[in-house]
Amino acid sequence: MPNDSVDVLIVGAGVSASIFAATLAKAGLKTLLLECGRDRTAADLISSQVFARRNHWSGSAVIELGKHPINFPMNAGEGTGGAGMHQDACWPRFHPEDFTMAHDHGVGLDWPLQYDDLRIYYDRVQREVGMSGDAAAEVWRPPGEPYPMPPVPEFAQGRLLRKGFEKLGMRVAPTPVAINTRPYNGRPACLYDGWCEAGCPIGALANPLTTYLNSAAKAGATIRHESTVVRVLTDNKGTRATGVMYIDGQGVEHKQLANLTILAAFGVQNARLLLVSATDVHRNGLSNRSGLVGQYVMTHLAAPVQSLFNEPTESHLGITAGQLICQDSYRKDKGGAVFGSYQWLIANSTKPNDIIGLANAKPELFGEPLHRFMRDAAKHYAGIVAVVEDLPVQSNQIRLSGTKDHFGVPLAEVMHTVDERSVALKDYAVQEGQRVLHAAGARNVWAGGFGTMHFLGGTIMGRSVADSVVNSYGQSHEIANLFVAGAGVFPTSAGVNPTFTISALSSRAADYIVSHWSSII
Amino acid sequence: MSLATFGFLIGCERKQMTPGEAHVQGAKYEVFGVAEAQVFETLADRLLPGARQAGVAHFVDHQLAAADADVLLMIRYFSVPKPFSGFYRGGLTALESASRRIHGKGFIQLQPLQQADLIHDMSRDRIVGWQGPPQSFFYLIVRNDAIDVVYGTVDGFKLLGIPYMPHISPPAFN
Repeated sequence: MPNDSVDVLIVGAGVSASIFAATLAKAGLKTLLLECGRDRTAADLISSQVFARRNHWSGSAVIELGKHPINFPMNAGEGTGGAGMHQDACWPRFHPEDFTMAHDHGVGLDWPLQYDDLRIYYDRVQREVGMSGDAAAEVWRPPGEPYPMPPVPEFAQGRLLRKGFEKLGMRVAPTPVAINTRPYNGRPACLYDGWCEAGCPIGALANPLTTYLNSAAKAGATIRHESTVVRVLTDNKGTRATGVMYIDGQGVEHKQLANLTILAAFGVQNARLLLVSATDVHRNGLSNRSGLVGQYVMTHLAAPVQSLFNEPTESHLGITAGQLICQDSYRKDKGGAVFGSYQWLIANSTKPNDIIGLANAKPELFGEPLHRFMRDAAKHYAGIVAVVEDLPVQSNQIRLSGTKDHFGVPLAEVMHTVDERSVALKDYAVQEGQRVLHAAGARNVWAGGFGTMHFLGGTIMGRSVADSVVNSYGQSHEIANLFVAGAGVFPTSAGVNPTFTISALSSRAADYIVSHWSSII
Repeated sequence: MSLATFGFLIGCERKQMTPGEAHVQGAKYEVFGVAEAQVFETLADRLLPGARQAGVAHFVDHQLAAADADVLLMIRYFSVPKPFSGFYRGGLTALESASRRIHGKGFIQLQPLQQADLIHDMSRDRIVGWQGPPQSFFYLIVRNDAIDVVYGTVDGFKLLGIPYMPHISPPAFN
């Protein structure tokens, strides 16, 4: 027997899902979220880099191929709040040139909307969530409302590193973050203890648990946890989504009918669901007439440059996102083989352990030399990280594997090899970063290896069914009541963190659904 | 103060204790064999002295028996086939084989400098004939397990002279 039908069914309970749920439930629509992970409350957010790993994915495997694996389990999340529970809340806006790269340079893809289309939604989300920063100091920032809260304070690490940038004539600004620097909307101010990735239980950091999921619940939306969606259902003509099949925590399969379905799981899983939901009408998967479902997957290249100072750096203080940013090198065309945008995140709060902890700043050390380094680094470490654009490459893609998970659903295979121009851009950034840290007076400077961070693309937006999977609202070109949300719809990655843009796009799409409800369903 | 308390098996009874206490009391391993655990804690302690006393083998063993969503090990960040015990077992077997092939004896019987040389080569994927998970990746994972139990704790922060400042303390601190 199918469950009672709902107006809106949302797959996932992360950043984008929570915005849709809050907006649509407030509009009076019966809204249900199906989340594969467990229920989570603020009390579960233990201050420990070890316990924080429970915020990351542990579900069905993703088979990673190519030279630069996407590190899916690290970047994805599960449970209430999804990957939003381990975000650093570093929320810069995309730049206007991020939306027109193909038009301007003949490289990559264009978005079907411009910065100006998104501007009011950046402003709205920033007001609703609460952000801190200094808009005037961000000389590169596109037009928009100033931040409602003053910036995070600078600690010793930030003050030291600022000097390096300024000596080279570069500009820095306080990092724009979705973190309270004073009480805002009933949530307290940050204590600058650096437990951001453990999920901020006091709610100073705007994770979905304390922002939009809270609003959604108050408006009547419900979440069913441990509910894994295994297929999207469509009608016989293939023109309308009718709901989903999902499997609950006891292994029982359910049919959930809905007037409108939104895939707001992590990007790989959204593409996987479209592909596994193939029918006689949609033989290559839903919304896949273009053949582009799964293609153009991207990450960011996270390239750290690290150092030791003689002075105390207080690197345990502050926020994980960093105290300052620099976007002086954001222009796309840098000449030669170097192309794309990047920004510097400066003076990130750093714990002793975990993947970006002090110990992994020198991964080659072990034994007593590692202890000596740890004692030194705890007092004198300072670092910067380049967030480097990963150019969209069609052959970087998600495919279905011949292997199935324990629900009988084919696993996703993800191929990802970074374009040589993006590798060149990363090298360009790292050289600049080393100059900066030397200029700042560090006694020892080194470049760490780069890793992949965030996940974007795979269900890209565009202007037509021929060139994309969804339109600028995330709406399928082929099935009007089926939407895809999150960074999977991004046609390019830009050179900044994606969560603010995910939020703005979701806010815009949710508005569109409310205002076009009768015609969409 | 250790990482946290977990339920370890003393005889047939499960008792809440820290991994370090489980080490001292000789708690029963649930996944590792005793010989595997000895090789593992020797490797981890060579990677970061103090890891053995902090109970690294009992901590990792306990986590290998946990439900997927509860696993606290860094390995869950990576797309390694489950169960993760296969990864650890494969790495330990490869290390032990390499040690016997190169030095004619097991890893725990090697002199400290021989152990360090083998680890150095492992960290750079230079052990010829290694048959197991990628050497440098195995090094990375076990090294981080050791770091977690030594420095990912209140006592570890104290050793480094930095405040822990928890909002919500791990279970052992309550």
